[in-house]
This record gives sequence, C-alpha cells and structure tokens, in this order.
Amino acid sequence: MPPLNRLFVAAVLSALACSSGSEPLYIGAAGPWNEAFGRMNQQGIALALEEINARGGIAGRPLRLIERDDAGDGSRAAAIASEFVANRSVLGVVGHITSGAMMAAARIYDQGLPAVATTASSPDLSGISQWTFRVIASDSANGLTMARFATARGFRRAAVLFENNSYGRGLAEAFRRGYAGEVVGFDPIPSDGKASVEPHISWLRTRAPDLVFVAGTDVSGRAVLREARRQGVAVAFMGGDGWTPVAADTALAEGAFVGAPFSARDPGDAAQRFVRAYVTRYREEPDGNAALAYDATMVLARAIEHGGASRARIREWLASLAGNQPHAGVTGPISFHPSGDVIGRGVVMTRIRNGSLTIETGAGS
Amino acid sequence: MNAAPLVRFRSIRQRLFTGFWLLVGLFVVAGLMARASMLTMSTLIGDTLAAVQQDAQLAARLSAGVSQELSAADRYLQARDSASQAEFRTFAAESHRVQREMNLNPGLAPDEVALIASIDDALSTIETRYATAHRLADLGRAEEAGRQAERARDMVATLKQDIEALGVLKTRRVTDASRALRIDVERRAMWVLVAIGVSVVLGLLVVFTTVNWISQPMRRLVAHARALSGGNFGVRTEGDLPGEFRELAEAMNGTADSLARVVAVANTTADDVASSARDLANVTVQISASATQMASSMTEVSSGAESQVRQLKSVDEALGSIRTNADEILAGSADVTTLAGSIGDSARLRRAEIERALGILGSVRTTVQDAAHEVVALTHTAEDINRFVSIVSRIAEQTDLLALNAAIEAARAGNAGRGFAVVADEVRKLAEQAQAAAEDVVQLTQLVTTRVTSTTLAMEAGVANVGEIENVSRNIDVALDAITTAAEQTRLAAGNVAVRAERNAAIVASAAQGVQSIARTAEGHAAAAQQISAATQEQSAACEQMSSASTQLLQGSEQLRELVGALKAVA
Repeated sequence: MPPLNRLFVAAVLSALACSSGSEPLYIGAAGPWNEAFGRMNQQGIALALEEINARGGIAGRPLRLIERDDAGDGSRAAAIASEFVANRSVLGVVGHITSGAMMAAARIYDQGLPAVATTASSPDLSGISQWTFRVIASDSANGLTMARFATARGFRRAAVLFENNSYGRGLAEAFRRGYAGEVVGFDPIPSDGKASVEPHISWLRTRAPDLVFVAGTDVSGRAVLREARRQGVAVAFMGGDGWTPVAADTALAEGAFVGAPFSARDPGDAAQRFVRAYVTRYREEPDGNAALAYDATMVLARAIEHGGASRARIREWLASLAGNQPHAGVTGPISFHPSGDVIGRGVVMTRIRNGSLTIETGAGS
Repeated sequence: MNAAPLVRFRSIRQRLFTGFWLLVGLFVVAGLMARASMLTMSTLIGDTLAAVQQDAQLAARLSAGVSQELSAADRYLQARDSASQAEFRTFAAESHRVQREMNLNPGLAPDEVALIASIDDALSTIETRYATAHRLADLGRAEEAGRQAERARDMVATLKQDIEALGVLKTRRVTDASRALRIDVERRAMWVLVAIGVSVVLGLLVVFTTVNWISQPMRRLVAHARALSGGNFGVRTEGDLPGEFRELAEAMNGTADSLARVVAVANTTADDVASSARDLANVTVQISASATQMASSMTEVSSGAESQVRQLKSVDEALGSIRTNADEILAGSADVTTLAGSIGDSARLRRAEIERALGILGSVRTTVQDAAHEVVALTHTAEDINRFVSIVSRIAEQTDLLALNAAIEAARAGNAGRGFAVVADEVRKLAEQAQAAAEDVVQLTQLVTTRVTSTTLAMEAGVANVGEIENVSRNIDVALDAITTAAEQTRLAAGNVAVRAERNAAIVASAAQGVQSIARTAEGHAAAAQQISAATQEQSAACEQMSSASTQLLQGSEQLRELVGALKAVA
C-alpha cells in the first residue's frame, strides 16, 4: 500500500475513533501523589476509573483522567485549578486532597468547574464555593468526635500538636473545643517531616500529658511517633483521618488511636466488595484515603452519567443528591449540604493493631 | 419613505399621535437607559470602592497582625511570659483569619489566590519555627532557640515581599477596575447619545414624512376642486390618502359623480327632445301630403266604386250561366258512372270464366304428364321383355343342340335308342318352335316400343300446347282486371265531378249573392269617399299648424344641448 493511502486509512480510522460514541470524557485529579496518603488517593481514583471503563465507560464513552501533582501546595494547586478550568474538555475534578491545596483551588473552581475533594477536611472549606464538594466530613465534626472519644476514654491531660496548615489548624482547634480535659500544649509542628520535632517531644515530656493528639498527615505523624519512640515517651497517641497510612508502619504506630473516615474492617457489603477489589488490584488494604478517593471518583462519574457532559449540569446533579436518593458509596451514603460538605458523616474511631485499623467499640465513637 | 411604509396610518391624527408617542417613548427609553447606567455605575463604583476598601483594610490588618505576632514571638523568646505566648497565638490566629478572609473575597485572580496561599505558607512556616524556638527556649536551650528564631526571621522577608506583591496586585486590580469603569461609562454615555440621536432623527423623520404625507394629497385635492369649478366633472382623486383627506376626496368625487350624472341626463333628454321634434315635423309633413293624396284618391275611389257596381252586375250574370253549365255537367257524370259500373260487371264475369278454363287446362296437363310417365315405364318394360326373349332364344338354341346330340347318341345306340331318337326329335322341334315364338315376341316388342315412342312425342307436344293456352288465358285475365279497375276509377271520377259540380253551383250562388252585396257596399263607399275627401282637407290645415310648432321645439332643444355640452360631462 502506498504511504499516502496508508495515511488516508489512518485518518479515517482516527476520525471513526473520534466519533461521539467513543470520544473519551475527561476529569481532572490533583494531589500530592508522592506522599503515602496521596498514593492511596491515587490508587482509589484509579480503581474507580478502571471499574467504570470495564463496564463500558459512561454512555459508551471511556472516562479518562488528567492527573496533576500539587504537592499539597496552595500556589501550585491554584495554578493546576486554573489549567483545569481553562481546559474545556475537563468536566470535573477529583480532589484536591489536602485542605490547604483545596483552600486555594476552590477559589479558582468557583469560576465554574465542579470539584469533589477527597480528604480535604478543613472547616474553612465549608461553603467556600458553590462548585466544590467533599466526601469527607468537616474536621469541626471529626475533631469533636475524637475529643469526646478521648474524654470518654479517660484521658485528662492532652497535648495537641498540629501541622500549621488549614487541615492541622482546623482539626486541632476542633479537638481543643470538644475536649473536656486539660490541654497542656498546643503547638504547630513542621509538616514536611524533615525539620526536627525533637524540641516539641522533649518539651512535652516536661508537661507529662496522658494523650498526644496530632492533627496532621502521616508525614508529620511518623516524625512525631519516631521521636517519641526514640525518647521512650510512653503516652497514647491519637490522629485524625490524615493518620490512616501510619497504620502500615507497625513498629511505630501500634496502639495509636485513629479517627478514620473508613475502616477496611467495615462489615458492610459495599465496603467489603471494595476492599476485596482493592486488595486484588494493589496487594494491600485500602484506607480512608483510598476509599474516599474511590467514592469521590464514583460520585463524579455518576454525576456526568446522569447530569450530562456539562459542568453546570454535573454541579446541579451533585447538589441535587441532598433532595434525592443519596449515592451509595463504600464509605456510606453520600449527599451534600449546600455548603458542599457531605451530609451525616463522621469518623469511626479505630486503633492500630498489627498494621490494621480495628474499629474501637465503646464510648465516644 | 412613502414607497413602502412599515405601518399604514388611517388618519393624520393617528399618525401625529403615533409619532408623538414614539418620540416620547424613545426619550423615556433614553432617559431610563441613562438612569439605569447611572445606577449601575454608582453600584459598580460603590462595590469596587467597598472591595478596594476591604482589600486595603485586610492588607492593613494582615500587616499589623503579622508584625504584632512576630514581635510577640520575639518577646516570648526573651521574657518567656505567658502574656507574650498568648499574644503570639492570638495574632497568629488573627493573621490566618485575615488571610482566609482575603481568600474568600469574590473574583480573585489565580495569581492572587496563589499569592495568598504563599503568604499562608510563609506565615505558617514562620510560626512553626518560632514555636520550635519557644519550646527550645522553654527547655533552656537558648542557643538553639536563637538559631531557630533566626531561621524564622529569614522567612519574614519572603512574607513581607509576598504581602507587598499582594498590595501591588491589588493596586493593579484597582487600576484595572477604574479603567474598566471608565470604558463602561464611556460606552454607556455613547449608547445614551445614540438613543438621543436616534430619537432626534426619528422625530425629524416623523415631522418630514407627516408634512409630506399631508401636503401632497392637499395639492391633489386643490387641483380637483379647481377642475370641478371649471366644470370638469371627469376628474377624480383616488389612492392612499390620510383618513381626513380621504373623506374629503370621497365627498368631492361624489359631487363630481352627481353633477356628471345630471349633465348626462340633461344631454340625453335634449337629444331625445330634438329627435322627437324632428320626427314630429317629418310626420306632419307626411300626414299633410298623405291627406292631399287621400283626398284625390277618395275622388278616384268614388268614381271607381260606381264603375265597380256596373262591372259587378255583369259578373252576376256570368255566374248565372256558370250555374246552368254546372247542372249539365252533373247530369253527364251520372251517365258516366252507370256506364263504368256495367263495364266492370261484364269484365268480372269474363274473368270468372277464364279462371274456370285455366283449372281445366291444369288438370289436362297433369293427365298428359301422367300418361307420358306411364309410356316411359312401358318402354322400360319392353326392354325387360327383349332381355327375357333373348334368354328364351338362347335356351331354345341350347335345347336344339342338346336334341341333336341326343339324336346322334340314339343313332349310336341302335335299336335301343330308337325311342329316345324320337323323343330327341320332338325336343328339337319344340326348341325350334320356342325359337320362332321368341323371334315373334321380339318383333312384337319392337313394334310396341316404336308406337310408344311416337305416342310419347305426341304427348310432350300436347303438354306444350296446353302451357301456351294457359299463358294466353292468364294474359286475358290480367287485361280484364285492368279493365275492372279502370271502370271503377271512372265511376269514382264521375262521382267526384258530380260533387264538385254541385259545390261549384253553391259557390257560384253565394258569389252571386256576394257580388250583389259588394255592389251595394261600393255604392256606400262612393258616398263615404266624398265625405272623407272633405275631412282630409280640414286635416291638412291642422298639420301645417303642428309643423310650425315642432320647428319651435327643435330650436329649443338645440339651445339646451349647447348649454349642457359646455359642461363636459362624462358619457
């Protein structure tokens, strides 16, 4: 076949492939993929995407992901959000993942691109934009749940360490408000895990708390735990949903309390089906990050399927879930308050036992 | 303008009102636009000013909060008093709150968002480093604390840069907003100007078209009125006119119509009168002439009637002789009838006899034909006899031969055969006799056959003769029939002659009566004609008077037609 003919055939084939039936639909996703919780989010999104496309996509069109790494940084998140808004083929965004990134990005999505945040739980995000939603409960609720649990478990002196960002500040503040015992310390700690937390742990030893509540991700969490083990501080540790990846680090994290948005031990059918699929795919147990990312992707895909391939109609559909049948997510039923917060959700109190989050029954949960 | 009007106006009033309200509407629109623009502008300006003010306040609060926070942090490092610690926390929270508020401002550009996020990041790092420095200081590790604080202060420059950059961004935004406002104001002012301009143009257009619309039909109506006053009723004003003018034009058209009708009627009437007068004059002349003629004719009639009476009397006499002749014809025709009847009767008798003769001839012919058939049959029988005789003859010959043979045999037998020789001789004699008898029969039969043949010929001649007789008889019958018919027709003709002759006699008698009465009437006419002659002379005089009257009428109608003709009526 002469090259010109081959070129023509290729053009025809590509034209056919681009016809409406098989033209892909695009969604964006942004997060700190290099962090452990970022990777879990990424895998949850990927699994959801694989399942959707294995079922034949949305109305016969495959769903494609445009991934960007915001490294949890507000400035970078704002730039990525601008890129997504400008790209008219992007129908919606899964993410962002961290509260700080979402705080900045939400202002950009406000120009008219629906975004479903996965684990951005800062109270400051409530009602930040008509166009942003999140599948995780606000920390103002989560911090309160965990504070009550700590109170109920008889912890009288709690020291609070928090990453100095939207998430850490919000969760720490919520915990402090809900905690009935004495707060013996309330200090910001570095979030990057490189700067030393030694002075804080050393100082805490002088204050003798019976509980250290750490509001942050597993990055700072590991630094704190490592330093505490190093100094032999025998104190109970508690973290929020950001801490769920810490569970994998059995040597450090054994016995720590985690207020998790999801537990792989959740006996519900949907949760167990998800856990099985996830384990089959990635050879590890999913945590809250993965489950919430999976749910965020699924609810956005359903919004595209039922609302239509239009940003405004997708937003309408997501907002209308509150008045209709909620989306059955693996983390529970999902519908959104006008503020964009997920309705009727909270955290489940778990404790790290042999690398897994086991559900803590008892007061406060 | 007038070629294809968008709206058709029925009257001047309507058009003026429409134009007026349109102008009023446009001015109201222009006014509303101007007002709406001013309102929007003032709202916009107010909003922009408020936003600028808020931005400025927030920036001021942020700057102040950050510097207070940092000074509190430094103070704590030296004094380690709880007041400074609390102040550090309070101002940190305040700074973050301000930063959040800034982030929530509507209409943030991506670079602003990024800058605010960057400020938050820098501030958070500074806080964290100070917090670490404070804990080191608490632990009595002053040197480390100092280093940590120094690291924190390193970031302050970045933070201040960011805050300044945000200020620059805000200033640029204010500049952009004011430029946008100015452009918007200019645009709106232009629109208002355009609206006013359009109103003015439209107003002029309305005035111009309305004036044009009124003056043109007005000129046409004036021309129409002039034509009417000049006596020209054929002029009409038609077409699309404003309502008021249309009514006027219709009234003028109606007037012209009425006048034209009056003129037309007068004209026709004058014509009619003129022609009637002419006719009358002619008639009078004719009557006058005919009266003269009549008078002379009457004289002739009178003398003619007298000669008529004389002639009529001679006609009466001639009629008398005609009646006598008719009587004689009547008698003659009766004789003819009788004669024709007797001819018919004798002819019928002859026919009956001929028919009887014909019947007899027919039976004769049949008999002769039958006899002829019998003779033919006889001939056939004679042939049969001949064949039979020849057979007998042959038998006799054979028998003779047989007897000869028997005699020879008997001679050979000698004495024993002597008796037999006698018998054989007897047989031979018999055979000879039979032979002779047969020859006789043949001769007889031939004679009979000859006779029969001649008889047959005679009979055929007889049949032919009988046929001829029959033909002759038939011809006679046909002749007799013609005679009978002729006799009958003669009798009928004679009868008709008698009837006609009687009728003629009656007609002649009535004619004679008529001639006598005509003669009496003619006498009367002669007297009447003399009276008419006298009356006609009187009529002649009257006709002359009428003639002069109709001449006067004719002159009057001519004058009328001239008068009306000047009015140029449309026929």
